[in-house]
Amino acid sequence: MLLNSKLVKFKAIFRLSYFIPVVTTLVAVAIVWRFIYHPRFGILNYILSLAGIGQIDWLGDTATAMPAIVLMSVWKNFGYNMIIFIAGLQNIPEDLYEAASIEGASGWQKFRSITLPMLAPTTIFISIITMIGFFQFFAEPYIMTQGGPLNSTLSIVQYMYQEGFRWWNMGYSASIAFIFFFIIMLGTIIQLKIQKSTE
Amino acid sequence: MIKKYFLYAFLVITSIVTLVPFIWMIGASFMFEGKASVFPPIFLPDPFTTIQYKILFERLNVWRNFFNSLFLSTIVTLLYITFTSMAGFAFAKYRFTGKKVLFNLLLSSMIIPSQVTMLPLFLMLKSMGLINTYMAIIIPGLANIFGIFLIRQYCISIPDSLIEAARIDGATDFQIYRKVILPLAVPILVTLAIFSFLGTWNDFLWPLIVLTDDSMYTLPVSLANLMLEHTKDPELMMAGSVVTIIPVIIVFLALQKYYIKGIMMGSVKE
Repeated sequence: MLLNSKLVKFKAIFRLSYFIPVVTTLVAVAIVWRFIYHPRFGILNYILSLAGIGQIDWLGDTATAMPAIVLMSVWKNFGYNMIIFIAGLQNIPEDLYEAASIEGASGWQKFRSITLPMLAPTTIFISIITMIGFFQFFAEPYIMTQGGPLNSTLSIVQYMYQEGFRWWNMGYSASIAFIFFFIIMLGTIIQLKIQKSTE
Repeated sequence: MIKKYFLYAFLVITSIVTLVPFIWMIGASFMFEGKASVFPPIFLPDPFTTIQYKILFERLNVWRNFFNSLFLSTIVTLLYITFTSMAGFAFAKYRFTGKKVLFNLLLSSMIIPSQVTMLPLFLMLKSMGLINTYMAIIIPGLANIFGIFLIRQYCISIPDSLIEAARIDGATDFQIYRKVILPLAVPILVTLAIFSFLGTWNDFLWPLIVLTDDSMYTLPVSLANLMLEHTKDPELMMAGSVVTIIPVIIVFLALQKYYIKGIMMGSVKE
């Protein structure tokens, strides 16, 4: 969000570094992160050890495996969401800010009363897109945990894949797909409804 | 002034966070076996070696997978651009029976996630005997409504007078498409080409389902397979990851303007 500010130089470089995770192959990225989460040699545990926190088996513990995968996805999609926020910011008319300045609003007040409400549709869009994206989760758990430990990171698409293409339970797999479809459709309908009501 | 420093500090820190995994990946890929599994982690290979890449290409035959990925991504992109641009042009500039119904039908199919269609698609391809062939990747990638929609929007903005002028000069419909529409639509075509190329290159689930032979695998599938066998070889796996993402990074760096524009379009118009 800050990247839209006129203060910042080297915009292109920052934008680039945020964007590399978005375009790179998910499988490759998941493999790299698998080693970052390595309980003994991983970078993350090293950084935590500097703060005096002991070794955590990120992907091997039912309590931390899911947050670990989510963290990686947030890292990967950061640039994408940022670009959409920038697009939203650029759609806010400049004169709103001018009017606020004339009436003596502070920077924070402007942010709270103009930027945030004007960005509401964008925020909703991103939330729904992200939610749908997480329902479609596949490569991340497949590479990093194989759905384990104890199925704690098994995603619906992965479940569908396992039933259908590993055990060849096509019927069961198809019903999973059908439920999955309804969930996604629900998300999309909510998205469209909100978008219409804000327009 | 202080605000500015804060801003820069924030940006620099977040950039570092996004880049550290890649730096470690590149560093580790040039290390000898076992050198990356140390505590604390190191980023610079010492001594420097390309042995992991040699293993990858000479012993594990990754060339083949690299070729598969490159070939499929290129072919799919070329065909995708051809078909979506024709369809988009037709939906924008021609009047025919059922146009509206057909277009709305296509649009509403956008709501169906691709994973849901995989089962029936698999069974269809299987009955055609196309499982484990390149066609199994190429056929489902030929066109999608997202591309048709974007090209249609773009073509609508092209003035009818241009097309009429060409027609008066005696151009056939195909010539109009070829000589008038295509040159004008280059920006949107480039954007879609990047999406299609990256999408095909990065795709994992579908190739995993329909390709069953080592020699047919695309890079991500082959990499995922390697991972299951070489869990304890970070250096080798990092080299594999580097090989997988280099083409993607090159395409992105060369055409990033179009890519970012495309993402913005998708979000504003949807």
